[in-house]
Amino acid sequence: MSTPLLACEDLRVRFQTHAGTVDAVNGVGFEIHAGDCVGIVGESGSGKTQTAMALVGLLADNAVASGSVRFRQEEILNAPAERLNRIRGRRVSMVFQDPMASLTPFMRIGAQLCEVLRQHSGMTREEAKARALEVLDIVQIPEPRRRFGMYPPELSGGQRQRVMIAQALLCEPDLLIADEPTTALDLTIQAQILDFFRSLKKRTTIVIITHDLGVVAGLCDRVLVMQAGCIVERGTIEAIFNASKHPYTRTLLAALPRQDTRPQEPPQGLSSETGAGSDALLRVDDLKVHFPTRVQDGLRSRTVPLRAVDGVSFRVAEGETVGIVGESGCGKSTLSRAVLQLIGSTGGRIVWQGEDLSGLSRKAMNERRRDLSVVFQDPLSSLNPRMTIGSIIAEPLRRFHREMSRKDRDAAVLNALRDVGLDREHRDRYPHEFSGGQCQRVSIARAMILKPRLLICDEPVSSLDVSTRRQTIELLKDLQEKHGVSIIFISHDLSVVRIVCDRVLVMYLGHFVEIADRNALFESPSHPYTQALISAIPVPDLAAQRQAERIILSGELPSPTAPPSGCVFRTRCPIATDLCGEQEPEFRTLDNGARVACHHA
Amino acid sequence: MNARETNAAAVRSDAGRLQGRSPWQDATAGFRRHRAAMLSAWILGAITILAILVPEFWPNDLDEVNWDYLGSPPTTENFLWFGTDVNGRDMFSRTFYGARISLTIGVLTTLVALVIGVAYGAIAGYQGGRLGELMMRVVDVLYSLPALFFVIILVTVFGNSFLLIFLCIGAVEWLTLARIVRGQTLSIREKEYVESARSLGLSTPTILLKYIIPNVIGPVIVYVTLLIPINIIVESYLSFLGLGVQEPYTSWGRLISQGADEIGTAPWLLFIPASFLVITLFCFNFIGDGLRDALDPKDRTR
Repeated sequence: MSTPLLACEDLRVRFQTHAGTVDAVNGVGFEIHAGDCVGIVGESGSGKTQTAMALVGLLADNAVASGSVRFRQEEILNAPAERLNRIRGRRVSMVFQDPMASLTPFMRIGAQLCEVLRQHSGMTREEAKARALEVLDIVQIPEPRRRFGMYPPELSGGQRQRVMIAQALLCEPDLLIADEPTTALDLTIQAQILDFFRSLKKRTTIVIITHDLGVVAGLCDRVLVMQAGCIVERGTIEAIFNASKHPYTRTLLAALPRQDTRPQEPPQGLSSETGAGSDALLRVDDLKVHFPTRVQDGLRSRTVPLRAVDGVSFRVAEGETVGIVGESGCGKSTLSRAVLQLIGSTGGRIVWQGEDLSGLSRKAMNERRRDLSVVFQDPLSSLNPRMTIGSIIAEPLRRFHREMSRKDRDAAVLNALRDVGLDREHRDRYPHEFSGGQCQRVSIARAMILKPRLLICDEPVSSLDVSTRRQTIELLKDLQEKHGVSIIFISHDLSVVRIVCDRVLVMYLGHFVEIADRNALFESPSHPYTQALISAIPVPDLAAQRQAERIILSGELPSPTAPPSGCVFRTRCPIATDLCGEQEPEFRTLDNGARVACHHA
Repeated sequence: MNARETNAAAVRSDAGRLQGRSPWQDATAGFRRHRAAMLSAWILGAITILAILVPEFWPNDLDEVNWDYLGSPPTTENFLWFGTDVNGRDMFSRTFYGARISLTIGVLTTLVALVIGVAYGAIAGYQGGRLGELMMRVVDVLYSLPALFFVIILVTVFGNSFLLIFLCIGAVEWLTLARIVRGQTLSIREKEYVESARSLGLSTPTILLKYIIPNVIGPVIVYVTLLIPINIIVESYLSFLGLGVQEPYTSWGRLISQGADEIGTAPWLLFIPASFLVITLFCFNFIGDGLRDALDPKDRTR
């Protein structure tokens, strides 16, 4: 076999902290050959990022690395900075997870790109500019000349990630290391970037670090699975997916929702028209939430409404789970806050148990809050850092059951802790001592302690690891079965929605575009946007990945201050016609019971 | 490895522990590791204890005239360790009585500023909108008035009682605090735990007291430790100008002012109280430094 491009032997990384030493990487060894595309997969804390950081000499100050890393036979582990700088950026490049944090906001895109070139190859200004434009073209940024003079905050997340990749490709590196390159991106944008990575394989050797086996499925040739600082399994992609030997790999595979199989239990015999009766728990009619924003218009600035939610109607029946799906910026979180009356609505009605909520006084509304609960996305920031877990969970009791004795309250809290699978000792601890999954359990315990009738979950599992995600979903389903609560489940992750929800509402730019039963939606999506979303899910299954005809949407979400005329989706729609620009589509009911707002579906 | 993962690892390593470590306990541990801050805390503690005990139990009273020792330099005789002033009064006694007044004014004025500033800033930040804007414009207007000049006018108009001095200083020094607290509140207001408190229908005062203020208090404490020496200095200015404490009582500012007149003939009258003032100011600054480091969650990994 030829000499490897990068060889890593017995790599160890240890952190000195005031709580003692933490071994992040425990003797990892692997080889990467020119032309490979290797995925390093593991959950957070598995040491995958620290391995990559050690490879390029970017470890934090309190880390000690030992072992050996050879790049083209040259030892680079713990090498002096000058030597590393000859290699980093030129021979080995890195793409980081958060594209916003990795670009300097005060420097123009072009200047940042040219700086790298002038540092490493001593090009003249003109040469550097020409090369930078060439690379921006390679990463398929629209209008590269215009982007060249823009600042990072003016670009969208997907475009910033493309600029990051462009920066990494500038000097034609032999090895590109990408750390969670798509995790911060929306589903359709992730599909665009992954598609681009596939085309990149011809140019360079790639190492992709990710927690999502679905991401590596259509991309990598070989996979290393890491757990607790060790490589627990390695092999070709087929071997890992079809004949994994290590139990941890199997856990990761099992934790991934598969698109190709139908979920076990059928929906509870509800058609998409359910909730239509007058006994619906919650009815939302033509709800609008607009925020006034100031835009510069020539010399004057004027106020323009940002149409976060622009006329949506839906119903939630008793005991039903309704999913609201859409990419970031589509207005789904605004919708949930409007239903909770945390932000005022501009128009329309929210009818809760036959009563219009927007007409209620603040005091009367506060009484209704007993039956309306919410679980937010970020587990850590949804818990007050200065309160113990016990007092966080007891807060709703103190608010709504003032007469309750301390003893009863403590008993109820212990009960709630047990319900969500936490120990009684956890009661006196503080949120920062818990992992994300545990914090989310605390949030759920607090939301459920009053036995509400409606629970709104705003991206409850999006920031959790895959295996934790699965457990949290199971917990929600158990609690729902036990207490019969209705759930509005908001997510950008269709695969999660498929497991949890009876009925799914697909949202785009403040409008619903499709309302359908879970199975109808996933088996025969009607709206082109739904079709694109479903095809964008990275499937952890090789056969499905290769056969499926992928629909990759071009472009990005238009601004909600100036939505397109007619059908809001037409600017990205593959089947749009002139009619779509002239007339806003009405909802139509299809044969399978799905309701779709599209002229052509 | 980021701070959170390290923390999680630390939690796992001592899973047997039952009691949680609150952010405050974390901060205390962090503070203890800051040597200069710990030393300053000890020195300040010693000065405080002396300021409490000396005026009560020292053999020479602060207004007692020692006829045999008019303007005497420091000596071991008769407990006149810091010498006497031109009127023969014991400087040891006077210095620590001055410490008592200066520290009291420093701490009390800061408390006044703290209460007004935190309440005002938190309300302005949490309510936001027009009310918040209006409240902050009021602060801007008050900011533009020369603060010391304002205090001097108040003191000359209303006469200089002890109570009035710290009310006046406190009422001027809360402005910066209000701005700090408002800024912090604006970001905390958007946190999901505040939203979930609102979704429970908790009242605004409850949300402010339980969810907002405990979480803004970190930067506030740091500023407060820096405000105490500022207020001691303001009192020194006032006393220096003759607007502060009245004879026979005294404060550091007053002692320094009197000592400055005698600098040619009796330099100890200036240098002894001045060095105590300087040491105290340093101590508060170091403690502020230590608290800032200890309360910064990004430094948890150290």
